[in-house]
Amino acid sequence: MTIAKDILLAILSMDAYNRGYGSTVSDNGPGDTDGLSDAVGTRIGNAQVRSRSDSDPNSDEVNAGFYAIAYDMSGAAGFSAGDTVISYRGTDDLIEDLVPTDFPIIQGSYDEEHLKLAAAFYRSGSGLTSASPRSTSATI
Amino acid sequence: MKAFMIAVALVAAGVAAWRIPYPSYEWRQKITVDVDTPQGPVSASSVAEIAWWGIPKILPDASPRDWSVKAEAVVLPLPNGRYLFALVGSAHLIARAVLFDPPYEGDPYLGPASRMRRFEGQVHDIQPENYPLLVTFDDVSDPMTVKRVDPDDLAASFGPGVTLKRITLEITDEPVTEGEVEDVLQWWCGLKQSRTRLNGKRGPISSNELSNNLGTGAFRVGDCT
Repeated sequence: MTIAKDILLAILSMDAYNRGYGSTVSDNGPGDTDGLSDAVGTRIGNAQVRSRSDSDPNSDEVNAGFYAIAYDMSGAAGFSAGDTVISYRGTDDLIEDLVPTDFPIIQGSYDEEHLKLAAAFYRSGSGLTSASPRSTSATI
Repeated sequence: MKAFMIAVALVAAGVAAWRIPYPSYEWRQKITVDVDTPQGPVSASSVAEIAWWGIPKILPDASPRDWSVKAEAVVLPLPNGRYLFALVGSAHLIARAVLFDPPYEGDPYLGPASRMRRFEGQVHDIQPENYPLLVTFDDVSDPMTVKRVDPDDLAASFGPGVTLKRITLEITDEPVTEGEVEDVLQWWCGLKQSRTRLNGKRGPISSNELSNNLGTGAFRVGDCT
């Protein structure tokens, strides 16, 4: 069954909360850190996990409360071969996200770990090769 | 003095009022790996400390609970000089999976957490679907040589006659295991401080190669000893 583009995008926007560490769901699979599998190649409809951020408890990403996942959309309705969708987790922690991260960004401070990790993930997940982030077709 | 006593009473009442809607539970659990070898049975254990607590759900995507783990992998030396590691993985979920069946009474995580201590002293087999990830190293001094171990076929990794007998879980009051991972994996603290994975990389992960997916937290959640 073909899933409409907007519905698939809506599913993928929530999917970042269902995979990786601190997930809101868990399948208790063997060796699973937490949540549903985010192994490269895992399929969600016709989207396929291309890359993900680190879920190791000692990683920069987990210490900052950051998680993102990128999907290869080749074969999904409404996308072209090689298109990428990146799904970032939003603010889901009052103490660790909203106060120390979101408020400074709102006030114009961009020297935040979340932003650095998000930019690094965008470069990697979108396959960005030039200096301009606009040169890719990644959907966020 | 009276004002001081009133202040203490108010603080105590505040803490108690907070703990009713947002309770906190912690326990220690011992994971034991038993292996049969041609030289006889060998066994190793690791004790972890787990905590779960409730938090106010103010943001729509926020979880109403949080957890912490202080744990390290089970390190089992085998007679042939190799090591079998049972990784930390879902240490915060394994006791719930072993000791409780859904549907869970009350909060699906805090409910079981509140009843963990009643199992203290009982040894329970962990079912294969809940086994921690088992790994070994071709060369224990080189993190890049990490290899997955099939719990149904330890002989493929360690030679004929080596079989996994069982993996058990026990709620315990024994002290948390510390230092055994670093005793064997001399590189652990260096990688932990550089915040890199076993292949020396950090940042996004775009392959399923094991050394690119395992970080130091798979072996120990805690600081360098």
